[in-house]
Amino acid sequence: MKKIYILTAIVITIFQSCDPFNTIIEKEGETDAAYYYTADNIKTPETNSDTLTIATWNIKFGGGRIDFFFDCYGDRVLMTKNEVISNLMGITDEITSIDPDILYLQEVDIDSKRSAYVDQLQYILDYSDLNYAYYGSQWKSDYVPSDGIGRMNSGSAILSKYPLKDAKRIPLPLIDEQSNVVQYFYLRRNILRATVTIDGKDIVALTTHTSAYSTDGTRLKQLKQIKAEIDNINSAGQKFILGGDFNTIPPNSVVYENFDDDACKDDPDFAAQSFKDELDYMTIFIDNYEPAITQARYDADNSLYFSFTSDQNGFWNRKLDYMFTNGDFVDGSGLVNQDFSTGGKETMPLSDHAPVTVKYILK
Amino acid sequence: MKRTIIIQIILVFTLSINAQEVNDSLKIDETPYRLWSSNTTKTLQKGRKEIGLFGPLKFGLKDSMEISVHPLAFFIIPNVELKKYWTSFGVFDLASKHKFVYPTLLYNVISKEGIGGLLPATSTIPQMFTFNNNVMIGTTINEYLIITANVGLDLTLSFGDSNFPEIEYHIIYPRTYSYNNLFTPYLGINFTGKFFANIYYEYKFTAFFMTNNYEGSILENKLKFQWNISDKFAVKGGAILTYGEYPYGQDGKVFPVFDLMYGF
Repeated sequence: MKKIYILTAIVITIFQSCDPFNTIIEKEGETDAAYYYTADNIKTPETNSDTLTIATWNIKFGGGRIDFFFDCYGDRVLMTKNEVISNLMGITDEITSIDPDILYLQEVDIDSKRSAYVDQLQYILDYSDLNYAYYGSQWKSDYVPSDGIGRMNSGSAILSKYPLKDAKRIPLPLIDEQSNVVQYFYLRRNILRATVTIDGKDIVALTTHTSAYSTDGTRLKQLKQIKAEIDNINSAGQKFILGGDFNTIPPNSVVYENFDDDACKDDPDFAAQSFKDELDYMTIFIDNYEPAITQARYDADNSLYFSFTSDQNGFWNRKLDYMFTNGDFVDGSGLVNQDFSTGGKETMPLSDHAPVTVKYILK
Repeated sequence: MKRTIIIQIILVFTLSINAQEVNDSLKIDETPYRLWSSNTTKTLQKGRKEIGLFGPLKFGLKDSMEISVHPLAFFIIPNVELKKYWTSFGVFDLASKHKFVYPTLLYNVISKEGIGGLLPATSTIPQMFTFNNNVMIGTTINEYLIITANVGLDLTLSFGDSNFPEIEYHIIYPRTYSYNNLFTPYLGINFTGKFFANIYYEYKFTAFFMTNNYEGSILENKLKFQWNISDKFAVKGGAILTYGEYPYGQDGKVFPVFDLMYGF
């Protein structure tokens, strides 16, 4: 009998190791997959304002403007620790300057070979006025056997000056058109949500980062699921603020294809896509909730609200980053921090995305 | 970590000495260990060949010497290993293994863009010659227990420009560490014997010491069972638990072990 137990234990052990690269985040469950962080030193926030500053920023894993292989401007894959820390110092200075009460980050590496295993979320908490955070991974693998990427743990985060609770990572649909092997190692998009309580009022904070390179309708499915999530929150009578990198341009965009920064035209894996048939994707949010940048402002001058370019020597050329609420933003307070001339900060050297900020009215 | 290694080593050596004191003169039928290769001091019978679905081709060159190569991998990672039984002194047997690997071709292949690129395409791979030398001392307690201790060193001599990262993946990392860091010492102990009928067990503990860079160590515990179906066919299965200090921190993982073997 003892021998049967031993053999059974071995069989169980073998079955437990069926995820040899540890990529399937969903197996952790929605609440277990949201990881809580605190700053080394908790800073007491100033509490005399009727408004909160909210920001969202895709920080490109602290890669600054290093020319990586996927941008087709260069061939870099891995960074040194000094490069990562130097870029994070710039990012943290910018965050300190914006002084957000709640900050959404996308493409934060916490344990990746490409960023020298620097825990970027912990660094930002420790060197800014933000105190608490939840992290949800969107790309995790003990080893990504492609392009020399190696170990990866990168995702989105909600940071706050105030304590966070009730966090969960909600998985979004995977890209259907990928083979099983590619899908196994690929990014697993999600919604990360948590609740922040300020002056006794609960606000549900949500961030997301939808698929960039899908042509099979996966992104639309993801957008619809995000919409359903905030609809549920709204129906429950709760206030929410959603922010993130939607990888989708707004309706009425004058330029929607053949972007001038696309150096990957000959590479089907990384070529900038045409948004010609996707110009109405964001209307489900814009028509139902308040955006940080209203459609009227965007229609008046698209370029003021562009938040992305892959060309550090060019200028921001499309808007991919958004914030929405079922509460109230201060009219006209939405800003894309492109550079000094637009009233923001000089952010071009820090990431391929510019941070978007807005003031939220506490009622 | 170091304390864990020391305790584990002391424990297994103490056990082996005690076991030996109980019964140090028993001779067992060594046929199973000469028909099928093992991590003991025993070698394949002269003329005996063994090939695994995943494992190498092994050949008994002499009654006390076997040679092995991975035939399919050979063209991309030339490799050869010689195992030699030397002598016995008292109840102990002495053997050694000597392995040569030329990983440069393989590393050039896996330095690429896209799928299969384990290393960046920009990597500069030097000419690398890896020598692995391993000394084994074993003692047979009874048919249910053969204990073999071993100590070894991976040494990689590199020539030419070199710029490529380590492969920091569990069982691969300690076995390729010397490519970037000149050498990797290791030691281990192996317990093997009859489980029941024609089924044999093997427990193998190995500690790799990453002495040149992060000063970490990797511990591997392998438990497997081999069913010798006949003199020609055998199947083995089990698991490896690996745990240790990697450049990114402490980590561990379990891997399955499986192979089908044909002997002739």
